[in-house]
Amino acid sequence: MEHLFVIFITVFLVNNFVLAKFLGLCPFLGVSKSLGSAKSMGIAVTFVMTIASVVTWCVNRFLLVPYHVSYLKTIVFILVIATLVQLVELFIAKVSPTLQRVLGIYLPLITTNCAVLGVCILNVQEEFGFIESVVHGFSAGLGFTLAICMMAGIRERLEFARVPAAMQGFPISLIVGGLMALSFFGFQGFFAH
Amino acid sequence: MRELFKLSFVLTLICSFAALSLGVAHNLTKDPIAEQQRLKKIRALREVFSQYDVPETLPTAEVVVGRDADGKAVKQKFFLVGDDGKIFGIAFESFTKGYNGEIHLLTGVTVGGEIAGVKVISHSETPGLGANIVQDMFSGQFRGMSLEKNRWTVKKNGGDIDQVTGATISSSAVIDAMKSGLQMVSDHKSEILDQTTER
Amino acid sequence: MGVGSEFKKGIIRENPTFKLLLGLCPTLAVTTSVKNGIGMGLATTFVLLGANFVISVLRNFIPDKIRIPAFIVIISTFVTLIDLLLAAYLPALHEALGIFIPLIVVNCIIMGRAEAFASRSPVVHSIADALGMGIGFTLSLSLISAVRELFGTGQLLGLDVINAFYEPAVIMILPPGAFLTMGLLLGLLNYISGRKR
Repeated sequence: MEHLFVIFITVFLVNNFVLAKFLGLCPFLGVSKSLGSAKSMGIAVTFVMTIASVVTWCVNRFLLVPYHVSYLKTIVFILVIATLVQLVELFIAKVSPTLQRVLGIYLPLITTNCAVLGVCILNVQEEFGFIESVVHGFSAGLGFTLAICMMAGIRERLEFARVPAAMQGFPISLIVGGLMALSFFGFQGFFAH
Repeated sequence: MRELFKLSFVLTLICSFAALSLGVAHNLTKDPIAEQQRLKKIRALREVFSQYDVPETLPTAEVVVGRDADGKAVKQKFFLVGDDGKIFGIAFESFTKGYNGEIHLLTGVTVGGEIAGVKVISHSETPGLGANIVQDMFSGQFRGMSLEKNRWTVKKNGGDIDQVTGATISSSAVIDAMKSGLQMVSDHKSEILDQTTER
Repeated sequence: MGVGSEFKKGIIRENPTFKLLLGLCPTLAVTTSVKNGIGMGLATTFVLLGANFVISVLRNFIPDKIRIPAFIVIISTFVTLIDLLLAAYLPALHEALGIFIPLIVVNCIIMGRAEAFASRSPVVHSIADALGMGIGFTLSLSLISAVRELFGTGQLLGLDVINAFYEPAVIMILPPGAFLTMGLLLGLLNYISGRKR
């Protein structure tokens, strides 16, 4: 149990997927203009990351490894993720039109979110068991949500600041990201005795 | 219906070509990749046992060194370094918790119980601070040390070992790992030397 | 547009990193040293060339409805190929680039060019486009990693440059440094192109 908590805290704070591992940057910079859209993207990503962790772990364990085709991991995982996203889209459209209105446009973008493919590959690389992979995927999604919501909160305030023309948009967002990464750096050594 | 069939057919065709070319590539690169892994290990062992001649193939031994929290046997793999049938050193890998993650070490111990050398294979310590455990100034000092001769803690705590400036935790992690490694080898030495399998 | 200008546009005018703002994840992660930056740039160029070529050749054969899955399969095949080749023949680079090699698959540059260009242009033009974008990407990676390596370690390509009198700002090769460098460079380039107008 403690082991799972360590995985959670590590990925959520210490090695935050966006701010320390550089995974999920495109939506982090692209979808963080408002807190509302950031929240929606975060939830969608967490959802997909968790399910993707489950499915890709099973595919790896029961198909790729027994048949010695681990080198097909990249291609199989990305196809699984792309299919998963399509299925999730269809599912949400049928089950909850309100949810679809909120999350709809973000879902297709998640396929190319390197954080999703990244967490699936890391699950295999770190040789996580099933529960550990699920916790890892879920925590990574939460870490992403934390980062993107913080960024959205800051950017909403930035609207009222006088940013030099050359720095408006991406440049100042990157600087903000850098300062966030710097502050998260303070979480290192969290588990040192 | 016909369209569905056509779409599936094209996709299957593309996937088959992809899988085929990857299968071929995999077969062609399988051996070079395995060779690289092997060379990496030999290079690391040669760095650790820098004063000795490490041959290309090494016998290994696997010994039960303890039990974990669930009572399951914990096995450790040892590399036996020697030539012409005479073993002069034992090497093993260990993982220890550093300041910011796991530190992966390769330690070499002479049959006389002294450290032949240690190599940090991977770590995620802070660059400029804990990361300096890879420098020879720190890792090189262990050469020749043993359980009996030295006090295995940092100088500021009364021991014999120079730590990395500003990185007590990273340094202590390595020191503790080496101390328990030495203990493990000394406890199980006869088992290790008895049980050798040609690699 | 002629083949020549298809090639040239990727280098400055439509530079994937600074103008199109694509492929940011590997850009920030891998630019801790010039060697790694160039390595990643060349690996991505390999995948770009392969994918653009195959997709352009098959552009009339792939039905529109399944073009995205088809592109994904083709791109990830080339990614796996470069992954295997690097592991076999350039293990040091393979280890340095790590997880970002398989992540080339989701590098928006590649999918972006496949969708926007290779799937509707002749083969020679697609190759020129891939080459231009790839070289543009490699150049921007080299620039960013040169700044980070120089100020973060005082070295360039592993050789001491200003170490004699400069205390390296280690932060530059850590994540915060990546964000800051990219933000400042982007702002600088915006300023320069703003003044030109």
